Amino acid sequence: MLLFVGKRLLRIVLSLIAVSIITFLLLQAAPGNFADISRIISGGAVTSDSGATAALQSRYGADVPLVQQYLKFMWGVLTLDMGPSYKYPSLDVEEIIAGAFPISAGLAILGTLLALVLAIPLGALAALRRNTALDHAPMFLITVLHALPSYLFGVMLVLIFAVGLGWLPTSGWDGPQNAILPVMALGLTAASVLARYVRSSMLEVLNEEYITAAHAKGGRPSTVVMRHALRNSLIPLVTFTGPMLATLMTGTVFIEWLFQVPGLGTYFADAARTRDMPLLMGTTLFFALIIMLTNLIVDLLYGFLDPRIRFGEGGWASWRRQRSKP
Amino acid sequence: MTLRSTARRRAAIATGLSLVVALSGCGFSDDSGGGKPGTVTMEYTNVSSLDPQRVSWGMWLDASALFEGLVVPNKKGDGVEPGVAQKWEPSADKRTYTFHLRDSKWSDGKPVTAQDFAWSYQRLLTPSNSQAGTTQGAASYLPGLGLKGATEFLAGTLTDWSQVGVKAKDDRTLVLTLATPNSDFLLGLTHPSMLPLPKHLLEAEPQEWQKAENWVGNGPFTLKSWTVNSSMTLVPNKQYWDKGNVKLSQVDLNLTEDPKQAGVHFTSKDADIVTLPQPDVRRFQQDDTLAKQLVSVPDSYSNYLAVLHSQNPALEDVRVREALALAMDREKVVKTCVDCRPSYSLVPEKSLPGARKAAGLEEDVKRAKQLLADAGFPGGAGLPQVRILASQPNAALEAIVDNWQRNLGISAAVDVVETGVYVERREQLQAPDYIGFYAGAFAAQPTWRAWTATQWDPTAMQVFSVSGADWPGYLAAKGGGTGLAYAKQHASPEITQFTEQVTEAGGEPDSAAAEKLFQQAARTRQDTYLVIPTTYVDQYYVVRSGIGGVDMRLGYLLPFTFKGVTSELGTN
Repeated sequence: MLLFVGKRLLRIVLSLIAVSIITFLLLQAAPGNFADISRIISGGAVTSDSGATAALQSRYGADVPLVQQYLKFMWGVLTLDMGPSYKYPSLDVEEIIAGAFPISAGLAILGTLLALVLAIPLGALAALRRNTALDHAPMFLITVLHALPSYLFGVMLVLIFAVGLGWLPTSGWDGPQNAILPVMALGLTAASVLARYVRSSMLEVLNEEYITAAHAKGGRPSTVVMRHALRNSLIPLVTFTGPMLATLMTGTVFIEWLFQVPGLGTYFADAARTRDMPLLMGTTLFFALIIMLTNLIVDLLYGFLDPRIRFGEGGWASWRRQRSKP
Repeated sequence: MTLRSTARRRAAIATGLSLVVALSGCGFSDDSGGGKPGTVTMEYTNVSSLDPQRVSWGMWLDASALFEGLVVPNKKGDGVEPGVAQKWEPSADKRTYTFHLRDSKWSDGKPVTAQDFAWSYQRLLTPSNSQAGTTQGAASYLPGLGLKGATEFLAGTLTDWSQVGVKAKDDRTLVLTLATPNSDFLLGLTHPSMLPLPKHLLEAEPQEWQKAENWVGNGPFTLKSWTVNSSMTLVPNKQYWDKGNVKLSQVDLNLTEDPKQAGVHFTSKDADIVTLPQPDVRRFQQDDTLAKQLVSVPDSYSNYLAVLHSQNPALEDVRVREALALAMDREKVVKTCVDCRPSYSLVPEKSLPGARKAAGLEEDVKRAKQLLADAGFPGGAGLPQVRILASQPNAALEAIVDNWQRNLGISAAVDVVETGVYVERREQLQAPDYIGFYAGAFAAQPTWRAWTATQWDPTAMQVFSVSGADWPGYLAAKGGGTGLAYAKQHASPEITQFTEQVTEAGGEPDSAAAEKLFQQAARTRQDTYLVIPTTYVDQYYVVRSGIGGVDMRLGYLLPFTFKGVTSELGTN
């Protein structure tokens, strides 16, 4: 297993290098530069000589050849000293990530938990009561939810719970009450995806022979459903939930804007918009790392849950077997 | 219940609780003053920097609360009142101003000195040495101020700081010398870029001086906390010299990237002062209670079209540009927006009555058609499609294009592109089949001088008047840092005349005579039609009943100062 993890980690490092090169080159090719874009979006002077831009470039080493700029930044990544963002000059990139990521991750984890708590019983119930009102009603709601983008859904939540009922604040980040609506917006949208997944997975398992066998052995229906059907139908959910969690951790920018949550998504979107090279490179690499690590964890977990995967072609236990061959 | 399931349940509860704790420990800013007496919550555009020398929304917040300059704007915004300077004396030729500083302190108790001002101005004028990394154009406001040697020092042609008209005579005396008299000089000093910075702090903490824990200012308020991209809390500065007149006990700022929600945030009482987005204005106007809380800043912005440089010379003929300006049907255009009004002059009529007559245009479709025919494009025949380059979709621009097509028979279109593309295309030489304008907006100014010497000033107009044939030369010179000098050399005769008129007006010591000359200069500039006025935008704020002292001033992106604001919220 160590060898499996080691090889995967090596692959992650190589992928990160590729991501960094592609991001850097795309950024160079993108039109506009930080100084001009910021000047124009904040109502600055119409014309400028190149003085301010040149000063900025020399400060961040953008006036040296591209290869040197790239290597300088990557050295910063290795030494965890990526320097200040262009746009937020008083904050270092690693400091921004350390401060904002826990917020995005917290929302994503709570959102995913909410999604699981709702999706598993709903999906299972719909599968067990297939083609009845208990299947159609929740599935209709879920389809509607699925069709709504989380941003729009967020606006609806604000109108209902904050403006209409006045129970919760519309936006801000002053206490746990501020996390409720963003978590609902993320979680309910995610639940709509997961519930459909649980339903179809459960339907598949319910048709398996071992379920018929369990019933035939005289097992109580609830035991058969909980112990055999539900448990086995949830295994594929792991592969789905992991990447979904990673996506929520990295892609909540609209929700952050809507609810004024100081998460990492806002920094990321802003860095791309204003061509803030250190911040964009730093956040992109960090997001890539999170997604790849989550995938690795999911693969390992899956192996633990399902021996067929563990010992199959490419599974981590198969490495050990290959090594022990004479 | 088995022992195993109890343990599992406990583990699940523990995990859940630790998640909640983790989330609550990850940076909630627990400073909300919401509804407490004496506090105000305002929704404000997100701020990434509080350096007043860096062009950003932060610099306007600095001027409204966190720093205080030599002088501060009066209630109407058309004159000044003493700030750090208790009094000042202009010399007889109005070229030298001696400021006597009061005994005032930074929020850390250290005295505010004339040297702090001199040091800050030197920092502003030395972009490459600026410890903020860049002034990002804040120094570009200075040519309008007319400080002796400032533009030369900024351009690098003057390297001896002692030759610049900024002298700290002693701790409490600052002498500023101008190249030419400037009737707007004192008002110009209220611009955020002219605020003082605490030299001792910036030298000790060159990167982290803007953090709340390090913050030192000299304004009526000081920074208590700043959750970047979310909120900011300001509290009264105990060291402020006029603290008796600071009425609020706390200002909470909700920083937003999504200003469209402002109306909702006001009605749900999450914010007490908001800038109202255009789609909400009518709804607020129609509701009696909400309408009473609306405050407008007339002519807050002025929208314009500025000519793009193309290999195709069609738009270099002033008759074509004039034809387009006269056939816009602005009365119809403004039906597409709630808070905008037709603009017939770059200088807004509401703040400077008579502006339209003195330096404006009169729409006339018949004349426009004739001009187009005279220029060799009868009925639009032979004229390439006229484009308007924009970075955001805008109904008013679509209406302009529509009116041009209908009135002149030409082909026209709006090109909406991503901000980076917009920024780059504005500058480049367009292909032979691409002619047109880019759409932009500017904050309105309160005086004729500001509208000619600072906004659409000779330097900017010289650049606009460079022909398509000379544009590659300008771009090359710009790359070498001599773009403005090149533009001055290759400016059109009309813009050279405009430049001379502005210089002459600047040298006129009699302010009434100077104003007349500035008006003449504005007329010359208008008649070039290099920049075409389209609409004025009245900005609307909503201020909750119970909040007083919100005096709106023209020319400031945050148009009021928090010092005079009072709040009776939460007392009844």
